[in-house]
Amino acid sequence: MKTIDVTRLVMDQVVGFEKRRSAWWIGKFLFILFVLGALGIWVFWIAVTEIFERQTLELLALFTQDREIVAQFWQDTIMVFWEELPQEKLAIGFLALLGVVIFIFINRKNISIIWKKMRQLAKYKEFGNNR
Amino acid sequence: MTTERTDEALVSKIQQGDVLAFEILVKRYQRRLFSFVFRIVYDAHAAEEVVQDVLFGAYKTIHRVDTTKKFSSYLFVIAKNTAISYLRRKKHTVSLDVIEEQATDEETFYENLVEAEQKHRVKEAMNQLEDTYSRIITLYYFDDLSYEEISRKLKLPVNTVRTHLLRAKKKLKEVLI
Repeated sequence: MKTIDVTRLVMDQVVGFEKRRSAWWIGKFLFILFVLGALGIWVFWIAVTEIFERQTLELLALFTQDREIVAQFWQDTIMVFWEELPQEKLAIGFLALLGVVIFIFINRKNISIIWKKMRQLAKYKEFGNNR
Repeated sequence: MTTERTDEALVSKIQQGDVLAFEILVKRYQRRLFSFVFRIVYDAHAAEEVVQDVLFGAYKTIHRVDTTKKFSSYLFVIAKNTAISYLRRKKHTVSLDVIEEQATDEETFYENLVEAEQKHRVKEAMNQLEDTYSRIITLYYFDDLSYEEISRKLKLPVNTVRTHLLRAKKKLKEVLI
């Protein structure tokens, strides 16, 4: 019976396939991360600009006044401050940034697998010819 | 050492990102796969190609492999399917020489099969014979011993061995028919 040795051929195919698959996964991962992060930052940026334009933060200057004034007006001030905040935009921005954290958390296992694969692929490339 | 690891442990390592652990599995199975596939496709070059496809295909789906089950069974199922697909693909382009060669191989295969089947029937029939008769038949037909060798082994005169063998054959014929 003829004996064969296809190890090199198969491993070259495997490494090539793994390179493509890992690159695709990293690309997809970074794209989603970028989209969520950019959305979060962008919406937050709009909200913060709006807050500065409306001078909403100046309402909080009440708390630098005398104690009696603070005691008398703090509830109204807080209510007006809350009303003036661009709540939807802040919520969207917060959810997008929370999405980034959750996305990283649920992919933490895959990240470590991909990291390990990349080190292995580099090792194969480095020592592949002398194996 | 990595080489002493079980298939399932290696599969688990590969699933965790240890791509190069697959090399051990390739080295461990390629020859066995080759002889298995060769018996289906009857062409060494094609068998080699199929083995490559099988191993690469197994890698591509390795993340789905259940490590509580035998990896070798999974691998040989892929091998069987890949070899059959190869034959189907090649069905329309196969040359007459190859068909002739395959036909001869198939004839040999079926001859061997019939022979094995007959041997099995004879062995079953022998179980119904007396011990001395079945022993003599085994030694003469299955172990290929001569009368003299059987005579020495059973400490019987050569002529008695002949007589026993003759009677044993008669009884065997009766049982088989």
